[in-house]
Amino acid sequence: MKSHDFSPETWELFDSDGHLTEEAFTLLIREQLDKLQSLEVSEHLSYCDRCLERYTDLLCAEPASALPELPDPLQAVSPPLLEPPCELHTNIMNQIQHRNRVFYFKKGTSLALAASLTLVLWSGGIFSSTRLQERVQDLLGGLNYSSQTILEHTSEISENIDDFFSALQSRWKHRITSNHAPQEGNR
Amino acid sequence: MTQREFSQFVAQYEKLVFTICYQFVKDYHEAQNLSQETFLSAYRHIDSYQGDNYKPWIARIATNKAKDYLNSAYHRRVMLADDEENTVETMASVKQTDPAQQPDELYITRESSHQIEQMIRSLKEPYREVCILRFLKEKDTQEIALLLGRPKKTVETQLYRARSILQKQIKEGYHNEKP
Repeated sequence: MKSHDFSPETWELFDSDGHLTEEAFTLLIREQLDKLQSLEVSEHLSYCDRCLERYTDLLCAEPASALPELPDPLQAVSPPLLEPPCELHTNIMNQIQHRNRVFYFKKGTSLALAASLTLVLWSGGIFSSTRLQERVQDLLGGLNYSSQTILEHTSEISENIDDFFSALQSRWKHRITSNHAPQEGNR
Repeated sequence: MTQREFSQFVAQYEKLVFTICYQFVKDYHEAQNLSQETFLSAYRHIDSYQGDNYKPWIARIATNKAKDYLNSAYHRRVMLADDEENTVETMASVKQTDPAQQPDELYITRESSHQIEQMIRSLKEPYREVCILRFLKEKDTQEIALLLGRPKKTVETQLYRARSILQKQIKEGYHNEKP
């Protein structure tokens, strides 16, 4: 840590690597940054893990652990965390409850709407209409027809195969008998 | 996380969040609003948070909320200031009717390019590196963001502010040189 003149306006907020200097943390914690400097520092903390960790460490440190060395020793102690307004916690939880209520109300409403629409359609007979039944019957009838046709064709094919084999068998028998007949005549 | 657990979470970190917001905006009521926004945002995303240390996570959300607030406040101020300056410039251009002055001004512009480079090199961080890469090395914002490890949007806003700093310096230099 360098020694300084106590003139914060001359302090460098960023080092040559682009990280926050210890002086920058000191000025931030003492609320001595101007608006543009605050913006620059917040911009850096929004993406730099190293500097954010250093900042939160300084904020949450015990009072004994000092801020970066300063000429005025009375100001070198890290101030405690600020006390938030007492209604902050209640306000946050109220907003969350309100948000949850709205969320569940919207979800419940859409579910109820879907259920009532289904009931209306059901009672209107859309799921048991004669048209629908006819279509299902047509479809089933078509399926029956095709299965019957397939059965007919398969039985026809098996009959043809049977005919073929019986014809083959009778030819074979005929040939055997015709071969034996001349030999018997020669004797 | 249940509401009861989140309530404990708020109780644990409300001091830290409020302190961060206050140190940036220095306004009690605005810090309170930003703290509320921080916790509401945390509630929306807490179940998708992968890490186990909530402190840096909630501190980053608070810093981002403060940054967004300061950024919009800065833009409001700059736009107002620009409007005023534009009015003055328009009035000046109406008064300045001597065409003979124009070639001299062109010459000055060429001469001053070296001075502008010097101005860029003598800028402070976080603007120096960004401006060198953009104006002297002609990198685009995406490349600069990758090279410096900064978000693209941050690079853009830093360039925007750096331009106005440079413009101000150039104007001041011009007025000082004028007899």
